Amino acid sequence: MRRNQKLAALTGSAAVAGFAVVSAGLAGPALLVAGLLLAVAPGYVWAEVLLGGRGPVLERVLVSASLALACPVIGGVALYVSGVPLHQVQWAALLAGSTVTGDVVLLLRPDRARPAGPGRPGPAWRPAQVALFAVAAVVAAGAVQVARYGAEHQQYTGFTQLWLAPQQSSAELASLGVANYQGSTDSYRLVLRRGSRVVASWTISLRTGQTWQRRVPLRPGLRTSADLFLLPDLAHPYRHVAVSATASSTP
Amino acid sequence: MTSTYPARARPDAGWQAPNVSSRADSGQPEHAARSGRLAGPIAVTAALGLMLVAAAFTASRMGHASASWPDRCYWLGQAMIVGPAALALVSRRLTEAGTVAILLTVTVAEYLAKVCYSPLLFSYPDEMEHWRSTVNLLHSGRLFGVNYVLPISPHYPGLEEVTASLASITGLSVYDAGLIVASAAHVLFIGLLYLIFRRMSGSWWIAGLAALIYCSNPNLTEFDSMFAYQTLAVAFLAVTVLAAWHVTAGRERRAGWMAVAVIGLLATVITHHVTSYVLAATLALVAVACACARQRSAAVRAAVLAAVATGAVVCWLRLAAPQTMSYLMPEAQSLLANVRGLLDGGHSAAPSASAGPPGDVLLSGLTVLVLSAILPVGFWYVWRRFRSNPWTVAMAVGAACWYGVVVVRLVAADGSELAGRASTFVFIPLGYIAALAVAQFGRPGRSRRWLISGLLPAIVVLVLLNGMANGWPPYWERLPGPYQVAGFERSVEPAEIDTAQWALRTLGPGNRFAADFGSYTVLGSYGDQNPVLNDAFLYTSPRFSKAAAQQVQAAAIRYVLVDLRMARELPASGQYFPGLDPGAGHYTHPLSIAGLVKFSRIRGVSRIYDSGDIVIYDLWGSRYYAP
Repeated sequence: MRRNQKLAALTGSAAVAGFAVVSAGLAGPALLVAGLLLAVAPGYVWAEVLLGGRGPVLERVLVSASLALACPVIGGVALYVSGVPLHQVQWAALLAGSTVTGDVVLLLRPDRARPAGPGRPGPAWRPAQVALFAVAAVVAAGAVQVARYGAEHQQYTGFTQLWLAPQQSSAELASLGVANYQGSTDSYRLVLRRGSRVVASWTISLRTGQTWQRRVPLRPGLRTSADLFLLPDLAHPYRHVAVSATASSTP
Repeated sequence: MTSTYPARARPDAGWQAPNVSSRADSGQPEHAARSGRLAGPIAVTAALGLMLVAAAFTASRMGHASASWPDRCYWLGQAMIVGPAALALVSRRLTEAGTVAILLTVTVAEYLAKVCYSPLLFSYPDEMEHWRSTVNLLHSGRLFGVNYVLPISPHYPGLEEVTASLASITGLSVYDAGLIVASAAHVLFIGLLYLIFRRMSGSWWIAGLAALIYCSNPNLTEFDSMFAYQTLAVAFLAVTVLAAWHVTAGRERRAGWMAVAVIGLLATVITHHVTSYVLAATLALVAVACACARQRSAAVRAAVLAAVATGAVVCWLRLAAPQTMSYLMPEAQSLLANVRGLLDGGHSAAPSASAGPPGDVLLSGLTVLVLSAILPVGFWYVWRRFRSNPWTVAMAVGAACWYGVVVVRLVAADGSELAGRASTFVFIPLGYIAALAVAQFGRPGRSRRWLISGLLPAIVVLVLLNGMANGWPPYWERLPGPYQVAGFERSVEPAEIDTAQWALRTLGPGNRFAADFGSYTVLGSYGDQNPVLNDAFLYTSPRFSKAAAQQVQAAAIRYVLVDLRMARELPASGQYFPGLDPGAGHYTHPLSIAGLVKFSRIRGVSRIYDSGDIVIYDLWGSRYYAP
């Protein structure tokens, strides 16, 4: 099999398989591998089409990568102008289609022998040097993990959210909610007032990250407010919100 | 790798090639081993330096932000990343493979240092803005959507398209896909720069040196490697310039390279406004230089590329991004006004240039002096030997813009910002011409050996460290850590992000919000709200006024986010509020609490959200909107 045929068969089958995996709705590692193959394939094929596999390895690799990045940029605009929405299947079709088109051009073109000499890779690296680069990669990955650990374990001031907001769909209803981000399980007392009258109250226990939410009616002309107490302190409101009497005219 | 450029016009044709390089060219295996012996340990040293940087960040996050040792640890790590690499690249003891390996090692290590700063989510303002555009594209499947906090971004959707496509077809998050795209573009850019310099000079030593000097661009390690449209656009610019070199000066596959150039320039035009203008100007400059060198066919080919680039820019401006001019014009007008004021004999309205710690200012001044002094040597050398080489002449003309950048930095309002943005482009020719000058200093000869072994690496390390010290993040956020009022990255914490997400979930997108400097971008990006600029008036007066109500109505402000920490701390950035803050740079004590809590007492204002430090008020139906 000639070189162009081999290349076209390889990239074409990768693109078609990638498209099949993506459009089948698979997830996880299969999707990741298929997606990455789809992302790089057009650049590789079109670099071969345009430059004929000539020139230094570094130059070919970088031009391939540039073309791979340019493909969704230019192709996305072309699809959009054609009225095609840009979702998963369309992106996959664009990349697979670009690859297969490049393969067809490769197959139709006469196969020239690649020149020897300047285009050949440089002297091989010794195993010890490769091992050093591997050590460097491991240390670098460790450094990123150290940074991630710091970011994940950074101590932030805990907080509790309380809200009372008129709903967008109906100004006569409000969303009343509490969310706990204190970093611990906490108990609260939530008191809802209309004017100065208590109309409802709840005792809530929330784990950190947990949310409590209700819909409450608003009365035009009456101020609605909510006080949240962090138990056991019932003397001092921990959070306070209020919707004014005129807010029910919200557009 | 060999250059196909005529030997007489090569910048390194005038001196004997470095001994090691020339022998390595001949493929002697012992020199390949020598390059490997240097590159491997340098990679390990750089990785250990990166570990120190990460440890400094973690220490700063874990309660040691005010101690001095994390800062020292950070600088030691940075020195380990760039120091040995600079020594090796200046030494001329490397083969081409070693040069490329070391250059890419430094690039990757510095990129990972940037990732370590914010390893869980985007917290740089520009990254958050592009995150929003990408998420909008993923949800809607449509280009040119709405981005309230960076309205121009959806009209240059290249970055968002690549990221959205990658996230869609791999199932990765926007953050992970964005990191992959930004890192690929960043490494690609430096690799392509190396190839451009390599092609122009015909010498990998000069190319490596030029790329290394480029790395001293203060924006490179953070701003030009973050998830922002310019990061991708400069990679497209570089591949276009490389292809243009092949089209004009190369001998093989001109049609193929012409196609690569057209693809590259179209991608640049779609991805970033200023980069596409710089690209069109560069191609035009090359065409003129080729014409001046009487290389007619090369001039025609470069002119065709310049015309295509200009046409693409104009078409994109008219059809897809007509608002670009109104986006860029205020900066241009401000710059022109300052320059005009200076030329008229008066004073510019510009505040003084960067006012960081004395060490940073000294480093910056020294770098400006060194680069300003070294460039004339490069010009002289270009004039003497390469005035018939259009690409080198074009680079010399571009490098002369450095002096313009220095002037802008000194005279223009926000000059440091503008100079920083310009340095992304100006450092390309500057790096090359400075490398030619350094090479001229370092020509083989015993009497000058101390230059190569001592002074030149020291100079290169100096300018590299200056890039880090005076680049991004600013010195007061060099290390991540606890919350700072009105900062950049250190104003992005879970409380701010959760508040922004609550606003999107509960209030819907696109509400007009008044907010402080620190919350502005978070609200606009993670919250998809429409925050307003120039809102200091709402917070600084202790009571309601009709004038404030008129301004609220004029700006259609519906919600006010109040961060009560403004009454406890001074602003890290010097200004509490986005846009024009009358007190910027002059705050000596925190804001009055009365101005922040007055909304609770104003008739009709609803207090709809309270998380302790952050409170949100709804102005609708209040005196602000009463007739």
